[in-house]
Amino acid sequence: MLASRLAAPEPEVVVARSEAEAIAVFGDGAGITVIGGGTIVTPLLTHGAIWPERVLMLQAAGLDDISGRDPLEVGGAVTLAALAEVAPEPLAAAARIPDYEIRGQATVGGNVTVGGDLQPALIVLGARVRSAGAGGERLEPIEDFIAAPWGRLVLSFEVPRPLAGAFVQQRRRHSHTHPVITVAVALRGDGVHVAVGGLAEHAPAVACPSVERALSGGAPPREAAASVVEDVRPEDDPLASAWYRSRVLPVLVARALEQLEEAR
Amino acid sequence: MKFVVNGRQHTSVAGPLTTLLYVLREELGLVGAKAGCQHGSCGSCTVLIDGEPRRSCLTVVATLDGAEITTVEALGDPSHLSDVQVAFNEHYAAQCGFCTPGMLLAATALISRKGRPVEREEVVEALGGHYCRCTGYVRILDAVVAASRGERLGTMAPTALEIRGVEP
Amino acid sequence: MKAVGASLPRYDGVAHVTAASRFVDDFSLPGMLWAKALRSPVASARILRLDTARSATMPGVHAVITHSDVPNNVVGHQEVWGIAPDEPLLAEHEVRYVGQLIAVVAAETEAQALAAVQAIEVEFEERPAFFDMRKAWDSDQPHVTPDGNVYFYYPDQPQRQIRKGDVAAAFAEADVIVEGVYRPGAVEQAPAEPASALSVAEPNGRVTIHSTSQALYYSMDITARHLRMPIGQLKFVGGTVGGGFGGKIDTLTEPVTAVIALKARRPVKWRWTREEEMLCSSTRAAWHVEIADAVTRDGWILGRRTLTLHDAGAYMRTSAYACSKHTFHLAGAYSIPACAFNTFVVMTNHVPTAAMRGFGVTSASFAVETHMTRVAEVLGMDPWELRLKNANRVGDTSPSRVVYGNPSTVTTLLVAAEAAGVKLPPKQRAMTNAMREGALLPAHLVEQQRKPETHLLAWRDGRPALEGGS
Repeated sequence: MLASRLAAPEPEVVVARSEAEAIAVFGDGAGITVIGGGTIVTPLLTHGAIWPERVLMLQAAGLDDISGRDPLEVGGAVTLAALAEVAPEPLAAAARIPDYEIRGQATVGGNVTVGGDLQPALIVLGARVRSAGAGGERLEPIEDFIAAPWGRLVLSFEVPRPLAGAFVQQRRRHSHTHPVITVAVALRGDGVHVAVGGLAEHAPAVACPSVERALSGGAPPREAAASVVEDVRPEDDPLASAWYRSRVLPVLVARALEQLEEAR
Repeated sequence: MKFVVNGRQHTSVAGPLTTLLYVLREELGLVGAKAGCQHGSCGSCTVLIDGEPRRSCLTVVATLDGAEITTVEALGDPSHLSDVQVAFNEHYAAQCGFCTPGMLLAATALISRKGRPVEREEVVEALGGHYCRCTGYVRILDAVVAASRGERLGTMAPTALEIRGVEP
Repeated sequence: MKAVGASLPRYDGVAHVTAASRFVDDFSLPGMLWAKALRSPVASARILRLDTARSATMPGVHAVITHSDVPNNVVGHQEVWGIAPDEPLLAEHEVRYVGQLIAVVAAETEAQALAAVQAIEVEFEERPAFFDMRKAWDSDQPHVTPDGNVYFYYPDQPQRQIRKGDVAAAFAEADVIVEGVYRPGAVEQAPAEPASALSVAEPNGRVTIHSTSQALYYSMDITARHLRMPIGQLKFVGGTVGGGFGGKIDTLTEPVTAVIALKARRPVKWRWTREEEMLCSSTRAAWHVEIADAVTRDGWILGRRTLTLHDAGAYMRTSAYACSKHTFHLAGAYSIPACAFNTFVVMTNHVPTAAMRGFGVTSASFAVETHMTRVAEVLGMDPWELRLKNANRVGDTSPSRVVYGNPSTVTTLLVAAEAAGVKLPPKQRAMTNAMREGALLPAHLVEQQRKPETHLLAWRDGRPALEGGS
């Protein structure tokens, strides 16, 4: 590592002009740093936390299209602001991160890759993600992707449209940290889906099958929400303790489910 | 990389991953944009890129081909201050002044975007990512709302500093 | 005085809104180099080896400095007050806090400086660290300084103390004793502008330093001592500070940039990152304040004992001063005839602590005011009434026996009540600072003040205790 820092002062930068070029340059993801919007990687460069040898930039690779309705097709480099304009709930609410300037620059692909706010919303919508990397292109459910996102280049998302959705979050508004807890719920043809995020820094969001089972078994929102603790393993981190998260989660899940009732 | 800064064409010789903040401050001597955190968290570095407020510390030169950048230096000068600048001055919205350039640009962009007087909540939403440790934000909100209404109290003549209500 | 009450234009108002105000980082000089620092990643360790040879030859690097480059490395922030110098500018044999400065590089770009810092070779022998000031006297805790973890104000006495009146009698006479423990935490000042300095070694031997210091002469003095230069050889340029709030008094950036600018023979600018500000710059200290009040059923506070521990962090800096100020203010705005206050400066392996808005006093105010409300609760008394009753009056004395000529407590309480929309009974609203109910100062309080001091600091299990000793 030290040798490469000494030897390679300036990284090789490729601005991909097409999706195909981006995929080719990315290869299997080894030895390459990807910049989507730049909100995540740029500070790492500024502060000497990373010294990449090769950088792939996506701003001109044509990955910023949104089209369709059901499913909504979202390119990996679409900004959160653009997504918030057209996405169904709860995804639109999740994309409306409080900082206007960051919202206009940060990308969906970047957000999902670092355990961001969009994950639980995408899970409850049954979204799928198309990615490139070792072994070629893949289309997989979002939960599978976020469980092992390394070495993948996010190309696009397919987001089915729900019947209704709701999003509840506990966070320091306008802070640039991950939220303390995020709850997303959606009513789809096959019932209510629930997912939770923000359980810890870098922890992936998870679906909540216990809550979903309770709901389809006829339990009212508050009662169903109580079983969320069976589905999650919150951790201590600088923002909140695991204890706190466990106490607050059922309340927020209940709130989200109640909002969903109203949104129907 | 060629882009326009405050109406003037500039060709940067900096590497593609150099931040716009660096280019503005070190290449162009435009030091209004500040290095408060260089994480995109504080808003001291905000400039307008194609009319939209963005963090110059998070923007690298490679993304700026043909872009139009507006910095605080273009808003006005002491003999000809913009509504937002006058309002910040009249409402004491700047104490140490470090966050002020970013606030001014975010506020200018907000008012331009809405095209009408803005509500306090809209200012909070638009400027919420801007960090001020001195003022407690209230006077900044006052100033932006006042500016959006084109209000000038006339209390701060920029070139003639008269003490009001005091006999000489 | 006609300006009082008038709204005046800020003299720097136009400069602020046109970005003409020049902060330290806004200065750029020909040939200027950028500095970056190697800081300790651990809280307590011996430095076994430090090798800057490779970093010194890296691209763009003009100078690397360590402790041996500093003419006078160990200086105290308050030597003028008799507090012995204890802090190396750059670490020599050991590190005592995460973030402590070890070495600094000056290079042509920040990136080159960062890379060179990462090439410095340093080996640590980590040691257990001490963090909980309540254990300062426990024999099984590691020592932060060679003399232990408690600072001694006097050769035979560690605590800053105040004694007034017969505290033992007050506690014997009281109807109720009300105790409380208050632990305000450390706070980071987090100014929008990170600490920065730009030093220029002038050809005539002087050094010009652009500084973010809130206290230019103070910083000049410390810098002059580190450099072993007469203070007249320094020129400080500053005063335009992007927020300080007490966090830009401790003086590190100026002497460091001066030393490295002299070595590199080029101007050097060092601007701290937000990480350095948050993790490594001085914070307001954490405090542990125990209060016991001897109280009558009708709401007179006859006496107060306090025990304060102050987390000074790894070096003394201005903590002794903070604790003196703190101690003076432990009666609050109230007249307490018998006082026994004991305040200890405790060294820990935290970042050395400093001021934040009301240095040493905010912790006292917080503790005292919360405690007053607690006393009112215990007595079943209205908290406004308790405060007005015990509020300073003309002729009362402070814990340090200053006689109050025109104390403002009563007025302040009445104005605050009105502003808060609290309706006080007419008798209270009519109160002034010249009268209590009937007498200026009740006889029993006068008597208390005249009695000789009796409080001895008690020790229990080897630690100072809140109750009185014998």
